[in-house]
Order: sequence, then C-alpha cells, then structure tokens
Amino acid sequence: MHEAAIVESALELILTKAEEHHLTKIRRITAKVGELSGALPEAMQFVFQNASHGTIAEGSDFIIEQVEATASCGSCGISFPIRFYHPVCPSCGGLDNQVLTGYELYIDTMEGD
Amino acid sequence: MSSIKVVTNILKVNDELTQQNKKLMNEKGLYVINLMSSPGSGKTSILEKVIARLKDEVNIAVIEGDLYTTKDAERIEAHGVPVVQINTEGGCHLDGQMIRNALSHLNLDETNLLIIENVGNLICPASFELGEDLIITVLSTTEGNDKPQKYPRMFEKSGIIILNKVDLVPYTNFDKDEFHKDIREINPKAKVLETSCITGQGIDELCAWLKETISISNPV
Repeated sequence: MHEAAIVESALELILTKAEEHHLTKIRRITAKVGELSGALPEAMQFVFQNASHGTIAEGSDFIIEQVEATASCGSCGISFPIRFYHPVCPSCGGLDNQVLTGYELYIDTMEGD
Repeated sequence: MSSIKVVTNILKVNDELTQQNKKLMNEKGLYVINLMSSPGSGKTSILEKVIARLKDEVNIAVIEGDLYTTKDAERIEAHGVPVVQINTEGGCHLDGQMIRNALSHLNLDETNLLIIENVGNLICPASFELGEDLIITVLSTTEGNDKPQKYPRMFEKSGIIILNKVDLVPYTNFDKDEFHKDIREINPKAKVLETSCITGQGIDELCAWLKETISISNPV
C-alpha cells in the first residue's frame, strides 16, 4: 500500500501550489498515472478521500487519468502498446525497445478559488 | 476559479531528498547498493556471505530496512560491520527521508560500500529511488519462475538479478529456461547470477564482480 506515501506526497504538492496561487478552496485535481508506475488508481482514490480530510482539498474531484504503457522498437521503429510488460516488438519480434509511456506519476492540473 | 497547470512529479519530495543523499554519498566516495526482493528470498543470507568474504578488503556498512524487528540487523552486526536499523513500522518501502536519518548514524568517511537492504516486498520499493549506484534484485527458486513477469518493475531497474536457492530447483517446478528468457525480455542488460547460500554456488562470482565494480567506480 505505497499509495498512501504517494498520495501524501501528492497532497503536499497540491497544498503548496494552492498556497502559491492564493487558493482557499481546491475544486478539481487531475493526475496522470502510468500503467507501469506501480500505483493503483483505486487505492490512490481511497487514500485521497481520507488524507484530504480537513484540508482545502477536501471534497475536491480527484481525477486520475491512466496512461497506457507504450514502447518503440529499436529495430523497425514502430510504436506499440506493451501488454503484460513484455516490450517485444509485435512487428519484427525485436527486444531492443525503449519504453515511451507508462511510468507517469504526476499532478497535471488543478482548479480552485 | 483559477486553473493551474502543475505538471509536477508526485514523488518530487522523495526525489529531492534522494538527490541530496546521493550528493553526500558521492562526496564521501561511497558505492551504494539497493538490495531488494520479496520476503524470505535470502537477501540477508546473501549479504552475510558477501560481508564474510569482502569485509577485510572493503569497508562495508549496512542499512537494514524492516517493518518491526531488528533480527536482520543482529545477523549483520555479528559479522562486525556497522549497521543501522530502520523500522518502518508497517511501511512497505524505504524512502529518502529514512535514508537521510540512517546516514547520520554512519561514519561515511570510513565506508567504501554501503548496502541498503530494503523491506522485503517485490512491488513498492521499486518506486522509491534511494540514490543507489546499483540495484540488486533477488528471486528465490521457491517463489516460482513467473515472478519477473508478474512484478517486472523491480527486475527492469536492476543491474544484477540473483536467482537464489538454486540448490532447491530439483524439488520445485521452477523453470530456469523460462526465467532466463523472461529476464532477457524485461531487462536484457542485467547481469544474472545463480546462487545458493547452502552450497556457496555463485557467491565467489558475486563478490568478484562487486569488488571489480567498486574499484572501477572508486579508484584508489
């Protein structure tokens, strides 16, 4: 359950940003979470509802956008989705692949008053 | 209503602390290993073997991560090397703040090799960088050969992958060919070693490799 540590860090980041922008109430937060990040959106939601209690982020919409895991093939150059973490090129079978997306774990936007 | 583009890594605080730790460890000329695996795969046993072989040639210090006990730290301490225990009290991984605290208890000027034994867990520790130079992930044959596929992140980040308890292969359905094939797909650059702490298989090779890597990284 390292989502607890992740969401606590996220909340710290959000509250700092809110202070910088003189917000007194946070309405909406969007986060990008990659399929390979190791963080479960459901667990993050659960932790957020509890951790945000009593802060200006309480009751805000915490929207997690999952980012598909993709890689590009070093041999034939195509991009492809990674299924079950096997970055094997489906076109040429090449193993020399670079993961393009899937490790995202960041706060993208926030809205408030 | 204000709209703010944030685009900031959630683990920024850990990353910053880790960068500070890394700077300090580099300044002191430490080679740092983050040793990870599931519980019971043999991390501490391998560590004991390595310490026994290398402690006269390399100044080793150990940070032991554990939920509640000091059992592993006591085992390491018995070999006469400095060890700091971190009890996470339920936490499933070590992070930058914990390492910073632990470093303050070690004499870094008298250390060449710092080994951080992470909390036994194949998932969460892989998400938290500790400023290490090398990740060693241990898998034991009794866990099954499907684990790298099921928990790829840790294996993907490793410089060395150790398959431990190879003496038990005849008593399990562990498929070594499948294991090596999966590792080649997940992390073709990793060095893979087969070890047994009972027969001693692979320990010499591991120690020789570590010694060479440390001397290249920190020329005397």
